[in-house]
Amino acid sequence: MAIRLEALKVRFRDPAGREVPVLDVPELTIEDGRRLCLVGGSGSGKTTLLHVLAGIVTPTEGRVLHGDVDLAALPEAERDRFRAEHVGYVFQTFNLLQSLSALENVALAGRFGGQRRADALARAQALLKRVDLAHRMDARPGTLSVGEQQRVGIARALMNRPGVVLADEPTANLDEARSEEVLALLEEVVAEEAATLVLVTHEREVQARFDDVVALKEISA
Amino acid sequence: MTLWELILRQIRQRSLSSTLTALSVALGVMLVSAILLLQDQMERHFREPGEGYSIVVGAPGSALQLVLNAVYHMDKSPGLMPLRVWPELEANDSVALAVPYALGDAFRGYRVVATTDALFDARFPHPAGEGEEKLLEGRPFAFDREALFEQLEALGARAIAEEAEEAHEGERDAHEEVAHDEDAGEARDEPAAGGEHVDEDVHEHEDEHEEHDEHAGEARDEPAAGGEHGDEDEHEHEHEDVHGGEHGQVVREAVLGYDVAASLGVAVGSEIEPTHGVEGGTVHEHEHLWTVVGILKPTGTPVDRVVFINLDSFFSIEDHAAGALLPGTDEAGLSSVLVFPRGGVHKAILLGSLNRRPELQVADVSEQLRNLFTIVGSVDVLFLVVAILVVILGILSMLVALYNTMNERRREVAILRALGARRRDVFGAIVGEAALLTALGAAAGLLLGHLLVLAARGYIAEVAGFAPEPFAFLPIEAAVLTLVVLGGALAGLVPAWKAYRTDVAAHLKPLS
Ligand SMILES: Nc1ncnc2c1ncn2[C@@H]1O[C@H](COP(=O)(O)OP(=O)(O)OP(=O)(O)O)[C@@H](O)[C@H]1O
Ligand SMILES: [Mg+2]
Repeated sequence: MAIRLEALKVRFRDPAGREVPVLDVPELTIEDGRRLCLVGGSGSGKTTLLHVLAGIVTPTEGRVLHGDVDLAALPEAERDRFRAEHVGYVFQTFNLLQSLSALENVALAGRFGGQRRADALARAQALLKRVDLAHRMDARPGTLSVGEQQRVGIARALMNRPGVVLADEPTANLDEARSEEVLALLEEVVAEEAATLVLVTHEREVQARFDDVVALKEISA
Repeated sequence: MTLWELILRQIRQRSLSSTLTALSVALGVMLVSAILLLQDQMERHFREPGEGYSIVVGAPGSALQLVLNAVYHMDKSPGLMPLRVWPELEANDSVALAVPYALGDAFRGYRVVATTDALFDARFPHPAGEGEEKLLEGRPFAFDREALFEQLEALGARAIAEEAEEAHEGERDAHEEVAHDEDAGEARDEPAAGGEHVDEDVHEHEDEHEEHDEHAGEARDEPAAGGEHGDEDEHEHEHEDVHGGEHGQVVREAVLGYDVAASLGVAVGSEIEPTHGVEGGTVHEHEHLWTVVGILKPTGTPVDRVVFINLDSFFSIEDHAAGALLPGTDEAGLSSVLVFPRGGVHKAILLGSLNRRPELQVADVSEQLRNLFTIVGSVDVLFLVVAILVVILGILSMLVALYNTMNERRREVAILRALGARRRDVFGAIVGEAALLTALGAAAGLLLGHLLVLAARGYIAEVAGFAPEPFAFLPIEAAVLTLVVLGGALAGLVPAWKAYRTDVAAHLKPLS
């Protein structure tokens, strides 16, 4: 399912009430199964672009096409559902729920994706095994190392077999060795699940792993 | 992982705050439940046992006290009323049954009530039935009307009013006519000034005791002269010979209420020795034993906790003889008379005529109960309002606690939304959490309310005269639970609205 942005404009209101342009993407196509690295200076709108792709932020203008579905035109509840079923999100700071175990954090995503309880638990266990966390499934996020937390985050992103995985600086909080490990794992499992990957990074080493690198400045008019 | 599991985890995650919140709700619900339970128990305690009784006549004073004393066997007796009113009532055309009560003794904590065989009449409500039908075991006690009036004569009391005697002339034999007295009219006009059989301070009446004990003693010691004693002109002292008459020694028999027999393990055939005064009274000067001849069926009313003895035996005891006269007179007294009127207008007629008599207090049992419930009811409403305010306060404190956590929880909300949760999912999760917290609090509160009643049981029994059943669950408790949970959910709408409006993009940012 290819992703295509058309005449996309995102403006935010500053505290004074003035509209501030944040994103302006005349056209961007991400082919199915592609691995794309998104770069750009701080404040260039990388995170905002991922939010738009996930349907978390609706653009001020333009179309956000996942296949034939224009996320920008969908009502909010349907966007939420689309996100649950088709989009996996990996955060810089993991964003795991502290009151739940690793397993429950992963399985919870399945609930929003409409999976049955038993199926969700089985898949969550399989995914945690895949990211080498079989022994820490019942651990609370707070007791996991940062590298382990991000591996839980990756497992959670894949819970609903998403068409696209969006990763916003997934290794920014990890040291170099962990960073390498996590990144490799992310690439592997995304490939195994045949998902498209859009990854935002500041880091040159990360950028170097990607054939497709898009700088936001280039696509912004 | 369902949303409910998530809510439970959230509650456990904040266990201290959750516990405090639930506790504050529980506190209010505990009060509400305890008040409702006591209200119900009190109604139960008074309404059903009060059914079947109609009018109580006693010494001037509080009508409510009279009813509490005569029907519920609680509170102190308001004093003595002239005994002569009793035969007069029996003769009254409007009266179906008149049951005289003389109180003052106790047997191991249970009240002793001296009365007549009218207790075993079908019209006496508790226990139901007639004669032996009222009894679980044994037989009714023997009541000897003639012996009673002989006793009274012997005591020197002008026991019976002239009119009453006349009314009974056709029905009675000569023995009772002995009591005929020229001074009866005069004596009747004297008000009863609150002489009580139930004397906590026995010494107060010591003088009287001595005086009358003398007569009684004489009566005892005089040998039986036998035969009739229709000699109306004789002096009082000369009546003493009746003791040795054909009636011989007065029989002392007791019929026990079910609880008395059950809890003390007293069986038919055993002998009991009541003491004077209801609370830890003194033993009678001379040993007087009553033979237990019967045990009443359980009634679930205060009757179960009463020892009934025959009235004639009551007046055969020196101590009673002393306390049995209206103070300052030589007139015999009773604690009360329970009157069961004939149907129709007779009750109204009786109430009308009895109310005109200054020496008596008349109480309409159902009216007094209505008054009691109105008084207690309005106090209850006050307590209930306070308790409900405590519940509302508890719910409000939960609202504040939840609302205050919303700032830190917006990140969680944003995460859930990023995972695909809809706005209404997170809204529902917060409302659900509020409802669950209040439900837990309310459930704990209901339990605590019952435990509170359990703990306060002894005290309530002491001050209110009945021991509430702490584990009677009322249908209204389900309504309380539902209302409180609804209130909690309603309060949860406020923080839930905050969750609903959370800007997802803004709250997913890394914390810096
Ligand atoms: N909710 C918002 N309201 C107003 N302005 C916003 C909002 N979110 C982002 N912005 C602004 O939009 C611009 C782009 O922000 P964004 O977070 O997308 O940048 P970024 O490229 O991800 O930067 P960084 O590399 O620092 O993460 C910034 O100027 C930011 O201040
Ligand atoms: Mg960013």
